[in-house]
Amino acid sequence: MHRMTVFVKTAKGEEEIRTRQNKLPPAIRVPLILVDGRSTVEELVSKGGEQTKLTEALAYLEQHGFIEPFGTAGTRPASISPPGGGSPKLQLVQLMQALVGQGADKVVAKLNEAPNSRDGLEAAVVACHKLMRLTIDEKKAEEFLARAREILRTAG
Amino acid sequence: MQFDIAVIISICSIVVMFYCLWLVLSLKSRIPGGIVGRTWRLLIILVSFFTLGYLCTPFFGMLPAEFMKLIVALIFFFGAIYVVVTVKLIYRVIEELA
Repeated sequence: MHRMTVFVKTAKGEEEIRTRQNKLPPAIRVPLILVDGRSTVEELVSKGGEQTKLTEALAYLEQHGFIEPFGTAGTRPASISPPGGGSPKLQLVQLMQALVGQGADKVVAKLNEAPNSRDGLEAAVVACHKLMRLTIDEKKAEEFLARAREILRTAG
Repeated sequence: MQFDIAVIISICSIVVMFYCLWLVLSLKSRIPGGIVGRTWRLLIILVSFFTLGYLCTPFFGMLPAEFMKLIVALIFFFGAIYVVVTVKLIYRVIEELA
Protein backbone atom coordinates (compact mmCIF):
# COMPACT_ATOMS: atom_id res chain seq x y z
CA MET A 1 0.00 0.00 0.00
CA HIS A 2 1.40 3.39 -1.02
CA ARG A 3 1.88 5.70 1.93
CA MET A 4 0.52 8.68 -0.02
CA THR A 5 -2.74 6.93 -0.98
CA VAL A 6 -5.88 8.70 0.14
CA PHE A 7 -8.87 6.53 1.01
CA VAL A 8 -12.51 7.47 1.12
CA LYS A 9 -15.41 5.67 2.79
CA THR A 10 -17.81 3.91 0.43
CA ALA A 11 -21.57 3.90 1.02
CA LYS A 12 -21.08 0.56 2.77
CA GLY A 13 -18.42 2.15 5.00
CA GLU A 14 -20.69 5.10 5.88
CA GLU A 15 -23.49 2.65 6.63
CA GLU A 16 -21.20 0.62 8.87
CA ILE A 17 -20.29 3.73 10.87
CA ARG A 18 -23.97 4.43 11.48
CA THR A 19 -25.27 0.91 12.13
CA ARG A 20 -22.28 -1.27 13.22
CA GLN A 21 -24.10 -4.10 11.44
CA ASN A 22 -20.86 -5.94 10.55
CA LYS A 23 -19.63 -5.80 14.15
CA LEU A 24 -16.12 -4.82 13.13
CA PRO A 25 -13.54 -5.13 15.93
CA PRO A 26 -12.11 -1.83 17.21
CA ALA A 27 -8.79 -2.48 15.40
CA ILE A 28 -10.71 -2.31 12.11
CA ARG A 29 -13.46 0.13 13.04
CA VAL A 30 -11.14 2.88 14.27
CA PRO A 31 -9.22 3.06 10.95
CA LEU A 32 -12.60 3.14 9.16
CA ILE A 33 -13.60 6.13 11.27
CA LEU A 34 -10.25 7.80 10.59
CA VAL A 35 -10.63 7.51 6.81
CA ASP A 36 -11.85 10.94 5.76
CA GLY A 37 -11.10 11.29 2.05
CA ARG A 38 -8.30 13.75 2.78
CA SER A 39 -5.66 12.08 4.90
CA THR A 40 -2.98 9.96 3.29
CA VAL A 41 -2.10 6.54 4.69
CA GLU A 42 0.94 8.17 6.26
CA GLU A 43 -1.24 10.78 7.98
CA LEU A 44 -3.66 8.09 9.15
CA VAL A 45 -0.76 6.19 10.70
CA SER A 46 0.22 9.32 12.63
CA LYS A 47 -3.37 9.60 13.94
CA GLY A 48 -4.09 5.93 14.43
CA GLY A 49 -0.97 4.30 15.81
CA GLU A 50 1.09 1.35 14.64
CA GLN A 51 1.77 1.32 10.89
CA THR A 52 1.57 -2.44 10.26
CA LYS A 53 -1.74 -2.87 12.08
CA LEU A 54 -3.24 0.19 10.43
CA THR A 55 -2.22 -0.78 6.90
CA GLU A 56 -3.54 -4.30 7.52
CA ALA A 57 -6.82 -2.82 8.71
CA LEU A 58 -7.00 -0.52 5.67
CA ALA A 59 -6.29 -3.47 3.37
CA TYR A 60 -9.10 -5.40 5.04
CA LEU A 61 -11.49 -2.46 4.74
CA GLU A 62 -10.65 -1.99 1.07
CA GLN A 63 -10.95 -5.70 0.34
CA HIS A 64 -14.40 -5.81 1.95
CA GLY A 65 -15.65 -2.68 0.22
CA PHE A 66 -15.79 -0.31 3.22
CA ILE A 67 -13.26 2.09 1.70
CA GLU A 68 -11.78 2.77 -1.72
CA PRO A 69 -8.73 4.66 -2.94
CA PHE A 70 -9.53 8.26 -3.70
CA GLY A 71 -6.14 9.06 -5.23
CA THR A 72 -2.77 10.04 -3.87
CA ALA A 73 -1.83 13.28 -2.22
CA GLY A 74 0.22 14.29 -5.24
CA THR A 75 -2.22 13.26 -7.94
CA ARG A 76 -5.58 14.13 -6.41
CA PRO A 77 -7.13 17.00 -8.36
CA ALA A 78 -7.47 20.03 -6.12
CA SER A 79 -10.90 20.83 -7.52
CA ILE A 80 -12.42 17.57 -6.37
CA SER A 81 -13.77 17.74 -2.85
CA PRO A 82 -13.87 14.67 -0.70
CA PRO A 83 -17.31 13.23 0.08
CA GLY A 84 -19.04 15.68 2.35
CA GLY A 85 -16.94 18.34 0.60
CA GLY A 86 -15.41 19.56 3.83
CA SER A 87 -18.95 19.85 5.15
CA PRO A 88 -19.42 21.10 8.71
CA LYS A 89 -20.11 17.52 9.82
CA LEU A 90 -16.85 16.28 8.29
CA GLN A 91 -14.95 19.15 9.89
CA LEU A 92 -16.51 18.32 13.25
CA VAL A 93 -15.55 14.65 12.90
CA GLN A 94 -11.97 15.63 12.00
CA LEU A 95 -11.82 18.02 14.93
CA MET A 96 -13.02 15.29 17.27
CA GLN A 97 -10.50 12.79 15.90
CA ALA A 98 -7.70 15.31 16.22
CA LEU A 99 -8.62 16.10 19.82
CA VAL A 100 -9.43 12.64 21.12
CA GLY A 101 -7.67 10.23 18.75
CA GLN A 102 -8.48 6.55 19.11
CA GLY A 103 -11.00 6.99 21.91
CA ALA A 104 -13.19 9.11 19.65
CA ASP A 105 -15.23 6.15 18.39
CA LYS A 106 -18.38 6.78 20.39
CA VAL A 107 -18.47 10.54 20.00
CA VAL A 108 -17.65 10.38 16.28
CA ALA A 109 -20.56 7.96 15.86
CA LYS A 110 -22.80 10.53 17.53
CA LEU A 111 -21.65 13.17 15.04
CA ASN A 112 -22.07 10.81 12.10
CA GLU A 113 -25.60 9.94 13.16
CA ALA A 114 -26.60 13.61 13.44
CA PRO A 115 -28.75 15.16 10.72
CA ASN A 116 -26.90 17.56 8.44
CA SER A 117 -29.07 20.53 9.43
CA ARG A 118 -27.53 23.26 11.55
CA ASP A 119 -29.86 22.49 14.46
CA GLY A 120 -29.08 18.78 14.20
CA LEU A 121 -25.33 19.38 14.23
CA GLU A 122 -25.61 21.89 17.06
CA ALA A 123 -27.51 19.31 19.14
CA ALA A 124 -24.92 16.64 18.31
CA VAL A 125 -22.08 18.99 19.31
CA VAL A 126 -23.74 19.68 22.67
CA ALA A 127 -24.33 15.94 23.23
CA CYS A 128 -20.70 15.15 22.33
CA HIS A 129 -19.51 17.90 24.65
CA LYS A 130 -21.44 16.35 27.53
CA LEU A 131 -20.22 12.86 26.74
CA MET A 132 -16.62 14.11 26.52
CA ARG A 133 -16.89 15.93 29.85
CA LEU A 134 -18.25 12.83 31.52
CA THR A 135 -16.05 10.11 30.04
CA ILE A 136 -13.03 11.55 28.19
CA ASP A 137 -11.55 14.85 29.31
CA GLU A 138 -13.13 18.06 30.55
CA LYS A 139 -10.52 20.39 28.99
CA LYS A 140 -10.75 18.69 25.61
CA ALA A 141 -14.53 18.90 25.87
CA GLU A 142 -14.39 22.67 26.32
CA GLU A 143 -11.92 23.03 23.45
CA PHE A 144 -14.14 20.89 21.22
CA LEU A 145 -17.22 22.97 22.06
CA ALA A 146 -15.48 26.28 21.31
CA ARG A 147 -13.96 25.09 18.03
CA ALA A 148 -17.11 23.25 16.94
CA ARG A 149 -19.19 26.39 17.46
CA GLU A 150 -16.64 28.28 15.37
CA ILE A 151 -17.04 25.71 12.58
CA LEU A 152 -20.84 25.94 12.72
CA ARG A 153 -20.72 29.74 12.76
CA THR A 154 -18.42 29.99 9.71
CA ALA A 155 -20.57 27.41 7.93
CA GLY A 156 -23.51 29.77 8.42
CA MET B 1 -15.44 -24.22 59.06
CA GLN B 2 -19.14 -25.10 59.43
CA PHE B 3 -21.32 -24.76 56.34
CA ASP B 4 -24.33 -22.95 57.75
CA ILE B 5 -26.60 -20.44 56.05
CA ALA B 6 -24.33 -17.52 57.00
CA VAL B 7 -21.33 -19.09 55.29
CA ILE B 8 -23.37 -19.81 52.16
CA ILE B 9 -24.56 -16.19 52.04
CA SER B 10 -20.96 -15.02 52.59
CA ILE B 11 -19.75 -17.14 49.67
CA CYS B 12 -22.54 -15.74 47.47
CA SER B 13 -21.50 -12.22 48.52
CA ILE B 14 -17.89 -12.95 47.58
CA VAL B 15 -18.95 -14.21 44.15
CA VAL B 16 -21.06 -11.08 43.59
CA MET B 17 -18.20 -8.86 44.76
CA PHE B 18 -15.76 -10.56 42.38
CA TYR B 19 -18.25 -9.96 39.58
CA CYS B 20 -18.41 -6.30 40.65
CA LEU B 21 -14.59 -6.11 40.64
CA TRP B 22 -14.46 -7.61 37.14
CA LEU B 23 -17.14 -5.13 36.05
CA VAL B 24 -15.36 -2.00 37.31
CA LEU B 25 -12.03 -3.15 35.87
CA SER B 26 -13.38 -4.13 32.47
CA LEU B 27 -15.41 -0.92 32.10
CA LYS B 28 -12.41 1.26 32.98
CA SER B 29 -11.03 1.20 29.43
CA ARG B 30 -14.33 2.59 28.16
CA ILE B 31 -14.20 5.51 30.57
CA PRO B 32 -10.67 6.88 30.12
CA GLY B 33 -11.21 10.17 31.91
CA GLY B 34 -13.61 13.01 32.54
CA ILE B 35 -15.86 13.30 35.57
CA VAL B 36 -16.89 9.63 35.57
CA GLY B 37 -13.39 8.38 34.71
CA ARG B 38 -11.86 10.17 37.71
CA THR B 39 -14.44 8.78 40.14
CA TRP B 40 -14.16 5.34 38.56
CA ARG B 41 -10.58 5.01 39.80
CA LEU B 42 -11.80 5.59 43.36
CA LEU B 43 -14.57 3.04 42.88
CA ILE B 44 -12.01 0.46 41.72
CA ILE B 45 -9.98 0.99 44.90
CA LEU B 46 -13.08 0.72 47.09
CA VAL B 47 -14.37 -2.41 45.34
CA SER B 48 -10.90 -3.97 45.74
CA PHE B 49 -11.04 -3.24 49.49
CA PHE B 50 -14.52 -4.75 49.69
CA THR B 51 -13.42 -7.87 47.86
CA LEU B 52 -10.60 -8.37 50.34
CA GLY B 53 -12.92 -7.71 53.29
CA TYR B 54 -15.62 -10.03 51.97
CA LEU B 55 -13.02 -12.77 51.48
CA CYS B 56 -12.52 -12.78 55.26
CA THR B 57 -16.19 -13.25 56.13
CA PRO B 58 -16.36 -17.10 55.83
CA PHE B 59 -13.48 -17.26 58.33
CA PHE B 60 -15.05 -14.93 60.88
CA GLY B 61 -15.62 -17.81 63.30
CA MET B 62 -11.86 -18.48 63.39
CA LEU B 63 -10.81 -14.88 63.93
CA PRO B 64 -10.30 -13.20 67.28
CA ALA B 65 -13.38 -11.18 68.27
CA GLU B 66 -11.52 -7.85 68.27
CA PHE B 67 -10.08 -8.40 64.79
CA MET B 68 -13.50 -9.44 63.50
CA LYS B 69 -15.07 -6.27 64.90
CA LEU B 70 -12.37 -4.21 63.23
CA ILE B 71 -13.01 -5.82 59.84
CA VAL B 72 -16.77 -5.29 60.13
CA ALA B 73 -16.20 -1.66 61.15
CA LEU B 74 -13.88 -1.12 58.17
CA ILE B 75 -16.37 -2.69 55.76
CA PHE B 76 -19.09 -0.39 57.12
CA PHE B 77 -16.81 2.65 56.92
CA PHE B 78 -15.70 2.07 53.34
CA GLY B 79 -19.26 1.06 52.48
CA ALA B 80 -20.44 4.48 53.64
CA ILE B 81 -17.73 6.19 51.56
CA TYR B 82 -18.71 4.07 48.56
CA VAL B 83 -22.34 5.16 48.89
CA VAL B 84 -21.37 8.84 49.18
CA VAL B 85 -19.08 8.62 46.11
CA THR B 86 -21.75 6.83 44.07
CA VAL B 87 -24.54 9.24 45.04
CA LYS B 88 -22.34 12.25 44.25
CA LEU B 89 -21.36 10.72 40.90
CA ILE B 90 -24.98 10.08 39.97
CA TYR B 91 -25.82 13.66 40.92
CA ARG B 92 -22.92 15.04 38.80
CA VAL B 93 -24.03 12.96 35.82
CA ILE B 94 -27.60 14.22 36.19
CA GLU B 95 -26.30 17.80 36.47
CA GLU B 96 -24.20 17.40 33.32
CA LEU B 97 -27.05 15.91 31.35
CA ALA B 98 -29.68 18.36 32.60
